[in-house]
Amino acid sequence: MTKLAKALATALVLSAAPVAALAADTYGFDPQHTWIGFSIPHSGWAKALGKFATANGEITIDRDDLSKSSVTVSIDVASIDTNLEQRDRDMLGPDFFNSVEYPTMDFVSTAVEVTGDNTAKVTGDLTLIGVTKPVTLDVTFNGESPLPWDANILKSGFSATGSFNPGDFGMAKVAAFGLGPDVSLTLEVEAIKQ
Amino acid sequence: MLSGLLVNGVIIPLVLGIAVALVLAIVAKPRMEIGCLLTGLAILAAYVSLEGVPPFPPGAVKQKLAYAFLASAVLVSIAASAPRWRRHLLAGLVGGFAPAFLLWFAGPILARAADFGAVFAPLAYTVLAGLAALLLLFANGSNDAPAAPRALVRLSAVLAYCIGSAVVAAIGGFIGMGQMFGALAALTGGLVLVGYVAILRGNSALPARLDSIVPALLLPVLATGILVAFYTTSLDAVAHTLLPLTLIVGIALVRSGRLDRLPGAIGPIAQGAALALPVLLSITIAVLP
Repeated sequence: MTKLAKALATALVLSAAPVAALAADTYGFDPQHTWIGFSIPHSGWAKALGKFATANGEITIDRDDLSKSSVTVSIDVASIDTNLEQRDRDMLGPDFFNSVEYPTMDFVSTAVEVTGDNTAKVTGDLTLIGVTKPVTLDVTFNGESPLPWDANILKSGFSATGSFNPGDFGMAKVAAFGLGPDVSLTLEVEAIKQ
Repeated sequence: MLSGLLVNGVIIPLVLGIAVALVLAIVAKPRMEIGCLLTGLAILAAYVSLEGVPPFPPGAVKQKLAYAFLASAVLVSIAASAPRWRRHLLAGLVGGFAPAFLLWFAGPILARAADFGAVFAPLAYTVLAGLAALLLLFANGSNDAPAAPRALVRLSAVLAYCIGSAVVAAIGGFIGMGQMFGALAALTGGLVLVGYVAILRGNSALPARLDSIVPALLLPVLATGILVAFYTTSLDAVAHTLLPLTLIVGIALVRSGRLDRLPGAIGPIAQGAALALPVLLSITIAVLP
């Protein structure tokens, strides 16, 4: 039995309410404890860093068959923060994230491959400025435990990394201005069992 | 990185503009619609060199611009091919395309606007630019073949307008349309350059031929300007809305003809200086903190 399945079984035992024999558990992102960061090489000088401050999502875990689990993430592109307000505004224009026409960047999983006791590769469709391409995230399950002040609320933690080329999504100006080729994504998510 | 921007944004469109002008110079009696079609296709080629081939159907507004360019090239050429109805058709195109571009490009923004104030500036620009373009169309009056150097005024007005628009768009953070306007300026500059050389060589026919393809430039310039007005994230609305003054100055120059009295080589330079004034005003306002 993998650590992940053991943890979930433990969580079920700890929960006070009687639990039906459900095949899948659903977890909603805790928006105040979700961090999405990115980095992208800048003309060989350094890596430009940034984050998206607003995101929401849902994780469904099938305890009987983890490969049938799923995750959806929706990132508000207007919440971008690169430590410079002018640059953040420029990034929202049609040359980059085009936030007027495409206010969110979305990821919907299509496959989960368990790779270790608490790790998995989650492949899904990333939709950015209206273009959808497959992207694979390396996901680590960090653990699950109830909140100290409310044992009825179970929280699970996940870390994920992945990368993609913005040019593949039609964001051609990224490379034209010395950025890239790939954006590295880092997600740290605390999700509350629904 | 910079060399790529220079090649795609300046050199390629400049060469295209020169090529179109040379075709009009070489062909014995070029038809206006051929010049308009070649110009329209050159603009489309400049777009592709900067933004790539757009998908069909277009999704993002920048992709819609390519199809606006294509429609302009075809429809202006068709209008130009009917000498009897040309003026009315061209006026109809300019007058009709401005609201069409507005709705197609900015429909979602207009629908979501909280109040009229939120979209007043880009709407004001669209109206002013559309009217200025219409007036520029008829600036020659009934004279389809104005004499040099006046024949280059309308082209020079479009050139100055594109330079100003490129700078204002880039300062506002919309680099892509800054590049597109730069390409339009380079293409128009190629036409003006060949026309100016023709004036220096005493050729008065070529400048008039070049002037006849101004309608093929007006619609793409209008479309790009509307896109900038609505989508530039940090646009200086005052600077941008003042840019159509450049076309108004061009109209005044054509109508007055005062600069025609200057010697052949100096007249176009004086016209250019006059046209540069509203552009410099807009750029100064955009640059000021």
